[in-house]
Amino acid sequence: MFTNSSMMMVLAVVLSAGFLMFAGRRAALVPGRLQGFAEMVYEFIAGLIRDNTGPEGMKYFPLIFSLFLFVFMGNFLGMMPFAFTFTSHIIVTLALALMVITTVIIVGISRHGFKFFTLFCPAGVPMMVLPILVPVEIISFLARPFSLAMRLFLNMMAGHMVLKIFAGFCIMLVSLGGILSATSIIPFAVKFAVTGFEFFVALLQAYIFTIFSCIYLRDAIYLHGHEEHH
Amino acid sequence: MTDDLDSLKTKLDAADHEADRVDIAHASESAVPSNSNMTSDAMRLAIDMVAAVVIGGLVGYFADQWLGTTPWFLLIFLILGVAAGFRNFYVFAGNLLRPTDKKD
Repeated sequence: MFTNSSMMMVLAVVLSAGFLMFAGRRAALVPGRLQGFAEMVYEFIAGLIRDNTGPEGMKYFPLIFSLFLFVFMGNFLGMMPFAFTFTSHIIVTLALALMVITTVIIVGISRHGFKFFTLFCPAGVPMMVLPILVPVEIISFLARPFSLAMRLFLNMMAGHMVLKIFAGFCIMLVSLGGILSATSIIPFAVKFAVTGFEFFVALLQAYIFTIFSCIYLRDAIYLHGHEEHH
Repeated sequence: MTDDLDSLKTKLDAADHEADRVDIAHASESAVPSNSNMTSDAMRLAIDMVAAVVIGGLVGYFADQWLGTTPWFLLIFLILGVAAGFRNFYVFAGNLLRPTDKKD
């Protein structure tokens, strides 16, 4: 079924792809304004991957870059009037997170083979503790996509709920009529401030989603860095 | 013109190479975003801890459904989930206390 959520997803993909193609249409050595901006986005994600996954992670740049743009566009388009924030649905964020963790598992197994599963068995632990520790590590690993998805979903949904609740207050106070209508300026001021904050959250959550994808990918590429880097 | 571009390219490549070297040297030290603040840390920790318990509970519940052993797997995996939650807390606290002296 093609819902408004799917429409916003298509729009996010079309807009981000269109922007990049339009910005890179001339591919000048000395970039123009638009190309400069596109290059800035590229550099930003490339730096993120180098810092959080390591130089090897640049192989997975296309995935991380698309992921960032998709989440970012989803969060930002959702701030436009009459738009729908598809990242405020847990099924969307969970699908994205499961895609990330599937990639992590595939990359880990293809790189390390069976040794990938030593990820669940920290080095230097006494044999006695392993029967408890290994399930704990596995559950902690399985919880990662869940917490990745929850974080984005909760932030987006909570933010938009606050916006809508305060908008509701405004309407209620106005409809009281008379002198009481004037008090609607208070929730309006709060809503005004929260809207600005929501733009910040939209960027921050896209950034955090990307960073955690990078960190999880790092575990798959360099096994056993994960105790320090979780 | 072409000569200019060629020499520029050589210079850019050299600079790139240098930058890459520096990046590799620092790559292992910045796994945790440096601009994370207390609120987002607390939020992250809360979600990480809850997520582990929820996943443990789900695994246990579905294992019980599958094997018809209600409630044993649910209980066991809930406890393991709580342990995993505290393990996340432990790792997180470790990162918080010594964010710089990490080694690979």
